[in-house]
Amino acid sequence: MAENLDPVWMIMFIVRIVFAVAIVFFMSILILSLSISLDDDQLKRFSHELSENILSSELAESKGIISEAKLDSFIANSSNLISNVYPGMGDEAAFMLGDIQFGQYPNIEPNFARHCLIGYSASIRELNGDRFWDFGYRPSGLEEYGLADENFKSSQESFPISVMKRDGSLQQAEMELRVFIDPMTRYSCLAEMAKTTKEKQELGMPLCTISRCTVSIRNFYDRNNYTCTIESPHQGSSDAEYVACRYLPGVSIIPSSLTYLKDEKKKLVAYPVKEGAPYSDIMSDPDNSMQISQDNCDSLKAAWIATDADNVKSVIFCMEPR
Amino acid sequence: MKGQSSLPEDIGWTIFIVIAVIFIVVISLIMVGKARFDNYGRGSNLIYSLYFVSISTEPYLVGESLSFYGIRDRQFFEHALESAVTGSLESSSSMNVPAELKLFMEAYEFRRYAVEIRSGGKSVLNLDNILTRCGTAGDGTCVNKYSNDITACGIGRVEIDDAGVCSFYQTCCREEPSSIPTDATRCGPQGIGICSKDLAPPTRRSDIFIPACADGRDYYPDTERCSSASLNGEETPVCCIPITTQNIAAAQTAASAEIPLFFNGTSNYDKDSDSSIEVTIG
Repeated sequence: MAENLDPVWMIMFIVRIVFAVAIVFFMSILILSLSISLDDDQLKRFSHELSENILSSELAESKGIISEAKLDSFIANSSNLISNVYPGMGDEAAFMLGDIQFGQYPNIEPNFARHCLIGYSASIRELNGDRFWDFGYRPSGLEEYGLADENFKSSQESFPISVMKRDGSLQQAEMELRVFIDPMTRYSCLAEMAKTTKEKQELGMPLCTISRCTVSIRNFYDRNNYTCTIESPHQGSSDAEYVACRYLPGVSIIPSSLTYLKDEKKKLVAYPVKEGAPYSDIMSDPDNSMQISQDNCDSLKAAWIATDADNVKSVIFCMEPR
Repeated sequence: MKGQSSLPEDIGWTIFIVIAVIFIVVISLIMVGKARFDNYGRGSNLIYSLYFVSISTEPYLVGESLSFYGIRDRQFFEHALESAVTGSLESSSSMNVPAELKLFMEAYEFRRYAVEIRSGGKSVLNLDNILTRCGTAGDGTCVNKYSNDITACGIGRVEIDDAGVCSFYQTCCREEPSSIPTDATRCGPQGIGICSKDLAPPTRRSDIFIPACADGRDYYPDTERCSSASLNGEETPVCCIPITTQNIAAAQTAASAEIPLFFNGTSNYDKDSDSSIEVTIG
C-alpha cells in the first residue's frame, strides 16, 4: 500500500482527475451550448396563402385583379352589418370595429378568407390613384400587460395587384397584408373551436411576467358578433375599456375574468355550454368578478358542458392548472 | 490477499465513480445555470437556423394583370399574341406597347423587372429596367471606369464605344464570355459567375464583410469556390454574376413567370420553339 501512496503517483493521479474533469466540463459546454432553432416563417407563408385566397375570391374579376365595384360593395355591406348590430355606438365602436361612419376599415375578416388562429388586416391601395380599401382584424395598441413580446407575432407582405375600375380599365395597385398571432386571436380561435367541435379546447398560458395577470374575455357589448378582451375585470359592459376585438359571429361568450400569478403554469380552457345553463353575471358584484367566474366554471363544468347531441348556446373560459 | 480486491482495482473503480459523479454534477450545474441565467449561451456560434424560402408570387400576379391591361385598342395579351404570330411589333401594329408597358411596370417600383414576348425562340419585345444599356447595338453596360477592377471592364467584359450614352465617369462594357481567361475561377449556379476582385471600399470591409461587384454584376455568395481564388497574382474572393434576366433568376435574386401564348402543333409547350410572355421580378 505504501508504494501506491508514492507522492509522484498521487500527483499524477490528481493531474489525471483534473484532466478528466476538464474534458467532461468542455464536452458539457459543447453539448449544452448547441441550440438548433427552426424558423418556419409561418406567418410569411400564411400571408402568401391568404393572398391567393383573397385574389381568387368573390372580390376578384380574375386572379390578381380586384374589382372596384365589388370592393366598394363589400366595404359598404360590412360597415352596414356593424352599424346594424351596434347602432349609435360612437367613437368606441369606431375605434374597435372600424371607422364605419365613413364606410371605412371594417374590423371584419370575411368568410372567403379567414383563419381561426391567425388574424389579418388587408389594405388595398391604388398606386396612381387616390382610392384605398382597408378591412380586417386590427390588434389594439393597448397590449395586454404581463406577457412577453414573443406572444405577439406579426408579419407584413405586399403584393402587386390590379384594380379593375368601373369603366373596365385597369389600375395598378398594391395589396398589403398584415397577419397576427396574439392573445386575442388565440382566445377567439379557442371559442370558435369549442363552439364548432363541441369539445373543450385548451391553451397553455404564457408565463406571467408581473405579479398577477388577468384575462377578461367577453362579447362586444353583449352581442354575439365579436370576441373581445377588456382591460379591467371590474368594468361592466357599459364602461368596459376594450383591449382588442375580433370578428366572430354567432359565438356567445359567458363573460369571465380569470387570473393567474407570476410564474404559475396555467391553461385556459374553453368549454361549450348547453342551452339553458344558469350562470351568475360577473357584473352583479364587480369586486368579486374573479370568484364569480371561478364559481361559474365549477358549476357549469359539473352538468352543463355540451356534448355531440346538444346545441351549443355559449362558450365559457376557465383557468386550470397545467 | 486472494479473493480481495487490490488497491489498484479500488482506485480504478473510485476514478470511474468520481468521474461519473463529476459528470452528473457538472451537467446539472450547467443546466441549472442555463435555466437561471437565460442569456447564457446566447450568441454562441453553435446555433443553426433553418429557414424556408417563401415562394415569390409577384411575377405571376403581374403577368395576370398585364394580360388584362388595355393598351390603346387592345389588351396587352392580344398585342402579345398578334406580335408573336406575326414576329414583330410593327406587323401587329403594337409599336406603342413598349412605352405603355414601361409606364405600367414603373408604377410598381420594382427594384428590377423584365417583360419579354418570345416567339419561336426569338425575342419580339424585351423591356426591362435591369441595366443602363450602351453601345451602338445596345448590348453594353455603363460601368464606373474608376472601380479599380482587374481590367477596365472587369474579367469577361470588353470595352466598346458607348454611342454617347454613358456619363463622363463611365465606360461602356460588353459581356464577352470568350475573353474570360482560362485560369479564372467560375462560380455561382451553373458556373454563371466569375470570381472577381472585391470592389467594396476598405472602410466597409472593416467590421462586416460586405462584398461588392462592378456595375452590371451582382454579388453571389459562393465563398467555397472564390475564397482562395486569384488571377494574375491578385485575389478574386468575390463571386460576381453578370446581370441578365436569366442569371438573376438562376441566382434566385429574382423570380420568373412564363405565360404560354400558343403551342406549335400538338406537342407539349417548348420554350424554345413556342411563344410566351415571360415576366421577371427581382
